[in-house]
Amino acid sequence: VTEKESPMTEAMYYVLLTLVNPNHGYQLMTSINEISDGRITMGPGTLYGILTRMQKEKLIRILEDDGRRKTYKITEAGLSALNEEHNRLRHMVEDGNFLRGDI
Amino acid sequence: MSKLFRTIFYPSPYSMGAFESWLSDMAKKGKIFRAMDSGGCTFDEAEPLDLEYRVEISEEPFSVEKIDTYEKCGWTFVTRVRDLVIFSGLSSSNYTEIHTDPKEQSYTLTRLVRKIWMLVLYTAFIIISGFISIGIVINMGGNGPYYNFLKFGVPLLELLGLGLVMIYVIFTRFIDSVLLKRQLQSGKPVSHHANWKKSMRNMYIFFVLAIIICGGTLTVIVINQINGGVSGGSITEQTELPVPRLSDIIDWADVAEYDQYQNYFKKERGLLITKKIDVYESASTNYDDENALYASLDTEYYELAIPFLAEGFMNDLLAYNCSDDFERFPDKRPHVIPYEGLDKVLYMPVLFAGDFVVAAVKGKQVIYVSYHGNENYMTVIDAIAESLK
Repeated sequence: VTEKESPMTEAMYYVLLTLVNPNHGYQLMTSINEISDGRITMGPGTLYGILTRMQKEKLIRILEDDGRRKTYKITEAGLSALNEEHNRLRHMVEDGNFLRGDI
Repeated sequence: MSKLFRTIFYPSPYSMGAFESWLSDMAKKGKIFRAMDSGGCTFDEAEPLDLEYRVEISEEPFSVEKIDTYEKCGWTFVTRVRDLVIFSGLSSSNYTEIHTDPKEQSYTLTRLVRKIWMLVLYTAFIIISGFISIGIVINMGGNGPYYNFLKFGVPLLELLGLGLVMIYVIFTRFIDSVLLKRQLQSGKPVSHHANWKKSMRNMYIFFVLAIIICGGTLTVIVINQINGGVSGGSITEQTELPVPRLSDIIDWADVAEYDQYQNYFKKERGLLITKKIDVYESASTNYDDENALYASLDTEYYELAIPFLAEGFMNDLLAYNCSDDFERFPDKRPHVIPYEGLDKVLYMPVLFAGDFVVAAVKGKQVIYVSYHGNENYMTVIDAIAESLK
């Protein structure tokens, strides 16, 4: 199983989601925490590991590098992978609705 | 300036949790980790601190931005050793764990595991090809396996031992990395307070093995040197040598006197061949007389550390000593002479009248004799049996 294949990890999903708007290092961690409503606190090792990996897989790219700080942005391929994962998760939630008697 | 403490013993950093836990325990004893290299770990002697350590794997350089982000999360960069980056943080601080997703962390190990595996293969290849090359060079001399092993065995065993220790060290790293990767892939995070004593014990074992292999061999060589080493000289005064003497063999009853005009011996000690004695004696009646009698005895005596190799060694020794000139040996193959009191006796007549070689084994003793003279080979064998008592 390659690292590119679905299902993506939760951390990867949130990094892609946050990078819909260009963002950088520490700010990215704060944004993930905000988007997940405090549920997810991402460690710097996890974050930079994902950024390096996703860059190699061309899911994100560096928008700006001023020598001190790199700003990342999601690519078309990244957006497509994010949508695919979002749909997968949405279906899973819908499928699970029967637990509440919705189906 | 703070005092430094240095140790060559430390748990493998590839057993990440054990290494981190060991560094924390050292900090509690007032030894604050500063650096690591192939020679060991260096610590600053300071007040005991309650510190947490984390090992991060990164092939890429750590940028200022990255280090800054880690610091904002409560982690201070300590040092970098190849792909390993080490951070520390106060246990009491509200730090964010460096890795919050074990599966994502497992990806950082992918290339490292591959790299270490390549290193295992590369080291094994170097060591195996080294041995094959040495083997080819040694066998180019046409010697038998027993002869080669006993003559060149010590340095080869030493090399083999060190090679195996090296492969074991690298292979253990590989296993540690693979196990850690699997653990992370299964969603189980690194245990930052793992027991480091087992990993440390392995380190001691490697050290003791290396000491035994290198130091042990060196000690035996030194002891051998102290106990005699290589010595030699004229054989005239030597009465205790366990070899047949020319005077035990020749019976020139009608000759009142004869001159021993050439004789010497050389003694050596070793590890596998614990004792080796080379003796050469020759004698003649009046050399100017055309009816002069002449005899010589060229002897090699060996005592082996491993007695069960004695017979094989004797066969190889005979083949080695005779292979330079087959024309001298019309029978090509030696005759086995049954003889009570000796384990095995081989006899080879030489083309020149009166010349022959005899090899014999008794327990751990091996003897090879090349004789020239008028006596029968049985007389020489009798003298050998007498001397090996």
